[in-house]
Amino acid sequence: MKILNAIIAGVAQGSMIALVSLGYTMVYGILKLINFAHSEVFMMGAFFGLFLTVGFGLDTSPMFAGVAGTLAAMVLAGLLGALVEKVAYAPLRARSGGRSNTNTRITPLVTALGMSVLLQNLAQLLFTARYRSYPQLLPIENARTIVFVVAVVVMIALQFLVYGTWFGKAMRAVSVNVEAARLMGIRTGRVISMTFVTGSMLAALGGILYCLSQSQVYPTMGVVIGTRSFVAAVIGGIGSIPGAVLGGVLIGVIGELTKLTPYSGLQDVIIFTVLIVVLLVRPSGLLGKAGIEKV
Amino acid sequence: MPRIVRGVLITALVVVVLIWLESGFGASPGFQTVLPDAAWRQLVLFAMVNVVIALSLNVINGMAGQFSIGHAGFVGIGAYTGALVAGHLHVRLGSGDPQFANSFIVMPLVLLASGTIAALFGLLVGLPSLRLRGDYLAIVTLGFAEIFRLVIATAQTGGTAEGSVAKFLASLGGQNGYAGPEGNGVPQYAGPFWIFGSVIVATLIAWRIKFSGWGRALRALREDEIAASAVGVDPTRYKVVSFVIAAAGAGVAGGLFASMHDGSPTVQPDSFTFVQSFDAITMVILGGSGSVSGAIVGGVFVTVTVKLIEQLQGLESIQAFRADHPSIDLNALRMVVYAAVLIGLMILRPEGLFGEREIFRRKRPKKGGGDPDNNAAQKSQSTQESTQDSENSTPADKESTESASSKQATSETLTTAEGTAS
Repeated sequence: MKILNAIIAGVAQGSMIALVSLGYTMVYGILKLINFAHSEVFMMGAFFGLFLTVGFGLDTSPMFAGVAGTLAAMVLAGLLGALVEKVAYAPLRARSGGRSNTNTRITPLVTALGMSVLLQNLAQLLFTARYRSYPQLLPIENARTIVFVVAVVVMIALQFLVYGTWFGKAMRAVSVNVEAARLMGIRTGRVISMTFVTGSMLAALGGILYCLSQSQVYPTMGVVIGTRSFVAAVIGGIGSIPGAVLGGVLIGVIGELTKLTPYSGLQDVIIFTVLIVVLLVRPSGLLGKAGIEKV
Repeated sequence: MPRIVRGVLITALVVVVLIWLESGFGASPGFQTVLPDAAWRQLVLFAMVNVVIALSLNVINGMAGQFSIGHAGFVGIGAYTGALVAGHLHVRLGSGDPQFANSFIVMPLVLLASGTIAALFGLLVGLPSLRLRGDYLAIVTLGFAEIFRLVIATAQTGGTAEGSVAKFLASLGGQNGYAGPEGNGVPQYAGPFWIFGSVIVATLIAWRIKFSGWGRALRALREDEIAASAVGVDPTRYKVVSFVIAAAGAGVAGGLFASMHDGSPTVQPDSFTFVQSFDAITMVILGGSGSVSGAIVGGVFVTVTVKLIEQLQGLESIQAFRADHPSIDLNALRMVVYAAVLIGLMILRPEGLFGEREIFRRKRPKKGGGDPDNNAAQKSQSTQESTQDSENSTPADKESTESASSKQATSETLTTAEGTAS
């Protein structure tokens, strides 16, 4: 019974992680870039959610404030994600065609990491490093169910967005080949921006759901969850949307199961061991396709 | 003078100067004569340790182009190993004040142990992640460094530990840090002799790695892995061995850090957080990834600014300002500025301050500058240099280029002086 409970809790926790890892996997699928700043967008999303929910009037109608605050926070986080892309990644892309004598592989990673550090410390300056408790909108026993249901609904919507709309088709085309997509009349810059917006909105939603069940907001909260989410994306097969969901749920369940053992502090050690085993046995991830690279 | 005699003489001179810095031949130690202020001595030694960190990270980040963002983890492993070895040896040697003579027994073993253990962990981390093309190393090193720190910081120290692993972790002191086997501080054997000596050796090794067949293979891998493997460079082997070298260098730096003169007597897990890893990356990128002299300049610069901010926080006016604005965290401000500088640098000048060039050596002709004759001359010079690559770390070569450039510099200053006079 304890194990079953842990698995249920793990699936709820994991679906929240999956929301964040979707952002990583979508950006990686298109730009082949680890967007380190994604974990900070997650954190910023939680802060936006906190401030907006309180701002919309928690006392008068908590339900309305919660929903409106969440939606507004998602919009703000989406704008933040687009801004990050415009400031840090777009200039590099614009230039990388012309010059090849520099260390081109490492440059986008450095800007991504720099952006992450920038946002994290900016949050520390703006919001201070103290832990803030999130308003208890839902009774704690329902929170898990809500987290799970919201996550599943969003994932189905995302599946429709990627496989059922024109934008999704454009996104997939860009991820296969940017140049060819541009020649087919797809505005690649806009598609990339929209990918960042979508991923960031999901991250903000993940952040708010995380706070609903854990109830603390602080500037470094993105580090642990961000790392776990990226690991989830890699385990599931980076670039694959169902893979990110599977990886997220797997990591959530592993995390909850280790809490039953006396080694609860070693949760991340186990997660990274799983990652290394997956990289050794099946480098393309559980659901990823091993592609042949043409030169 | 034959090259080998010159080499031996220069080495002997360097060793004598280093010993003078450490012991002063009976008089007061030379290092204290040069820098009477203990805070300054600590800053210089700390900067040198950071230079070793930057040089080692430069091998994997700059030369091989693989992004490792958990370098502080390897430094930490080296530091804990070094502290353990130094502490236990110190007890064996009869405790008391650390003697310079004894450091010839302690320090080689400390550096060997910290380097080896860090290299083993480097192999463990690098082998699965570097087999693959892509940026898996980044995320694995990030996780590794964080796990290392958390395992040590959250170890239960209250005597309730069971099992040999838990007992060992408990003996490392958890969040409070490790303070030697008897709890009275890690013996501080690493004086200027060992630290400056390590910097010199590390510089020479980095230089030889860069201007060798190995270094060229690494650069080829960095530019295009598929093309490089097509001409016979085994990517996994080159990448993994370079990563292990980098980890070993970080371990040695950690060993020095643990037993540094005037340093902290305890080794604390908080000295090896992500902030330190990011500082190490800043040192390498700022100076110019792939440039040995760039890593040295970057290491010194970052250490000095970090120290400067610590000093600033002690000033009364700053403390008053902080009392008025408690939310302003100077360290967070520093990180914001560093990150912004790094992003700006990547966008405007992705090769860093020096690019891949070295201070004492002109490897590539200047882009777009100068008349064609000059360019051609430089080109022929650079080809000449690359043919002598195996020999060019001899001091003679460096000296000549150095004196030439300094002559040029003086003539330039002379002409500008004349210009202002007239």
